[in-house]
Formats: sequence, C-alpha cells, structure tokens
Amino acid sequence: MRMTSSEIDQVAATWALRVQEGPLSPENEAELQRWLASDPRHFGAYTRAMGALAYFERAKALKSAPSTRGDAFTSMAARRRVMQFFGAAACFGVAVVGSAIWRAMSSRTSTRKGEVRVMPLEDGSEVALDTETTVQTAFGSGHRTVRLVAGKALFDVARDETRPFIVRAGRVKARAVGTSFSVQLLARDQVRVLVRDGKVEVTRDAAFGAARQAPLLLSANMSTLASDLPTMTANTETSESVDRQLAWRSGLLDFDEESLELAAEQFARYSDYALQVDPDVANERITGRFAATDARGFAKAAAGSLGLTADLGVQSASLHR
Amino acid sequence: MRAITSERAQWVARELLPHEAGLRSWLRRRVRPPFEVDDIVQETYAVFGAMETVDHIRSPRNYMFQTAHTVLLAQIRRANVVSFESLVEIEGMDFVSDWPSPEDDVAARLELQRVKMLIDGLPARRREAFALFKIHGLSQKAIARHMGISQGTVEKHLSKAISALLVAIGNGGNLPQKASGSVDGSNSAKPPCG
Repeated sequence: MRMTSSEIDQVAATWALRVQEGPLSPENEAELQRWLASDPRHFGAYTRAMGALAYFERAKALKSAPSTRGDAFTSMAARRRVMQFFGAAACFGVAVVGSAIWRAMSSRTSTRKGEVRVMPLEDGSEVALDTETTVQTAFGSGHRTVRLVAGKALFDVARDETRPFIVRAGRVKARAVGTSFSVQLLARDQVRVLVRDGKVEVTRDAAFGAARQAPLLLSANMSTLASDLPTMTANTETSESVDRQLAWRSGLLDFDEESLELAAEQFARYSDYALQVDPDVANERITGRFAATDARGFAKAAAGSLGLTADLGVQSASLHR
Repeated sequence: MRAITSERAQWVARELLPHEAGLRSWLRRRVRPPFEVDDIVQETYAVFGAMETVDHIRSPRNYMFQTAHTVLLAQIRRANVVSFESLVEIEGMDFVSDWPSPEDDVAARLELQRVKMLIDGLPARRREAFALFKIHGLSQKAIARHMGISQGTVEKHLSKAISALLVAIGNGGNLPQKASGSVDGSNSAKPPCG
C-alpha cells in the first residue's frame, strides 16, 4: 500500500507520540517495525517526527514560574522546570518567560508594514507586535511600563506581584498582573483592549475638565473600546472570536461573516496592495482565513466564493459584480 | 530493529530541520514528475536516521543536500526513464555549479519565534493539548483526564499539531498559501474552524 507523503507524516507523528509516551507493547513494537521496514519514506518520516518532538526541548527556559490555574498544575510546575515557550501557556494562566537564547529587547521597537514579530521582555513577558506597530518599554523597580506608540500588540505578561505590568496607549492605561491581552490604537484616539486570559484593569485619563471615570475590570474573553464616548463598557467575546482576532500573530486574517469593505481595510494594514471594493458589494460577507499579506489572493478567493468579479492587477485589484 | 534515540532526535532537530525549507526549494528546481520533493525529503531523513553515528559529520547542512541529491539520482536510475546521456547531464550540472545558493539559505531560516506563533495559531483545543504535553509534560493519559476527552482524541490532537508543525518546518516557518485563500493546510471547502 503506497501512502501519500502527508499520510505517512500523519502516521509517523502518531508513532513518534506513542514512543514518547512510554515503552511499546510487543505487538505495537512489531507493528511499528513492520511499518518502518515497508518503505524507506516511512522511516524517514518517523525520524523527522521524532526530530520535531525534540525540537521543543531546545527552548527550555531557565526560570520556572508558578501557575495560576488549578492545583493539579501547581505541584507539577513546582517539581518540573516549566518550558515557557508558547503563548499558549498564557491560556492556562501560566506566566510566560523568555529563554536565554533570545536577545534582550531594546527599549523602542517597530515593525514595518506587513511585518509581525514576537519578542521577549527582560522580565520574561512577551510582546507580539502586529503590522506597523511601535512599542517602547520602561521598566523600573516598582513597575513595568510599556507604551504602545502605534499599532497593535499582544502582551503575554509574566507574573510579578511586586511590579504591575502597565500598557499605555493614548489616554488609556491597561494594568495587569499575570495575563494575556492585546491593545490596539485605532483612528481618532480610540483604544481597544481584548483580554485572552487573566484580568486587566482599564482606566482612562480624564479629558481636561471632565470627571474621573471608574476603572473597568476585564477578564478572559472580554474587550472594550475606549472611544469618544464618556464611558467604556465591557463586551463579552466567544473564545473562537478571540482566537480569530489574534490570528494576526500567525500572519493570518480570520473573518467570520465580515463585510468586504472592513476586510479590505484589514488587508490595507499589511501591504500596499490596493483593494477597491465597489460600493455595490461592500456589504457582502466573507468567511475564512487568509494570509494577511496576500491581498491579491484574497480578492481572487472572495470573488470566487461570492460570485463576484475580481480585476486582478499587479498593484491593485477591484471587486465588483 | 529501527529506532531513533533521543540524542539522534535532538541532532535532527538542531542540524537538519532548520535547513529543510531551503532543501525543499532547492529540490523544487530540480525535481520533475514522476519524482516528488516530499518523497526525496523523507528518504533523505531515513538515511540520517539509519546512520550508526553522526559525530563525523562536519557540515550537516551540506551533507543533507548531498544526500538528497544522491537519493534523487538513485530514484532516477531506479525509474529508468531517462537516457544515459541525460543522466550524465544532470550529474555534471548540478554538482559543480549549482550547490546551495544564498537564496536557499534565506528560505531556510526557521526562527523559533515563528514556529511559536504557528503553535499559537492552532485551534484552541489542539493548542491546549499540545501545551499540556510539551510545557507541563503531562502524559497523554493525564491530558485526557484534564481535558475531559478520550486518550484517542488527545493522540489525534497531538499528532495533528505535530503534522502542522512539520508542514511549517518544510515551509521555513510559514503556513502554506493556497490559491483558494484557505490557509489551514486542509483541502476542505468550508472555512477552517479547527
């Protein structure tokens, strides 16, 4: 039976996981050996899958951090060195710390248009910067402050009760202890805060002469938009929606029934490829995940799935009936 | 009996995986149907997996390219579809003038951060299972208990996460871009939702 190479990879990954889980039974061992012997590609895929599993062992962190969720983890984290490598860790409220092999971050960092970058901070926190984003850090003995000068960033904050982590964007201040949240500066001084995990306290400097506002406390799967309205309200999101809104970290834009007009605006943040959406079709709804820097590919795909026409050029495209 | 020791797995991770994307782009310029890049890459890894020792290898990257080249030639000979003259042509041209170019190097840069971002981009449950596995070091049994799912489902989550990672490694840290606009690597028409 000749399998396709991706089928082989899938089977190899499963075997590699089983082997890592523990010693195989004699029957399983025999089955594995049979499979490995039947085609040189099988053994190659198996070698590669074992390498992939080993790949993550390379980034073991130097510090461990206490978990914040569930007693089942607390003792485990205390016993083992936790590999603080993935932002996924923040999903469990476990603080993310950087590894010694990463360079320390300079105080001011910017991304270009279309560039998405992840970087560690000196306290072990991590910042993922979206397109055209600038952040500036100022850590002190009693505080960890980051100023979002432009764009959007996701902060995975290492737990440090002695030093609150504060993100300043425009007039808005987002304060966290150990959590994962994104802050975005929008047009007209609007600031959007989206919490993935943990708790974030959002305050806003009062406009000149105006009364002080009470802080807004957001927890996981909540967001707020600080606009020119006098108060900020908290919105609840589904975890799927939060995942979609964070797809940019993988260089993707993830739409669920989004209007073509707004989708095109999102693509404009990542490249200079101009997407012209005819007013007649601006409110057509598109769903799907797309590479953020491939606006032309999106135009083609959107036309295909919505039954529209796309005039595809080298530097621009237009969508119409 | 074929086995991959922990040391060999780590060596593969450190010395071969980072260059895979570059190798693939180099092969794509030289491999035509009925031969396939995926097959050649897998057979190349098999050679390294079967080696008694790898300590003697001074430049694993060059050795990887060399091995892939040998695998390709062996496949061509086995298939017996080219005349002797064309075979000589392939050997002469490729070996001397066209060895890994700077472009292949650029294509091969697999940064840990980008792989991290890719794992971060996995669907929520799969990411959770993978983080429990790799960060907290839980056994699949414990993960199943914690997530309230069967061990078989855990294994499926993990092997799909590994597969996604392998695809990413082959693409130099990027998810493959498909003409249809869907980038989750599957061929289904519906939008990917994990």
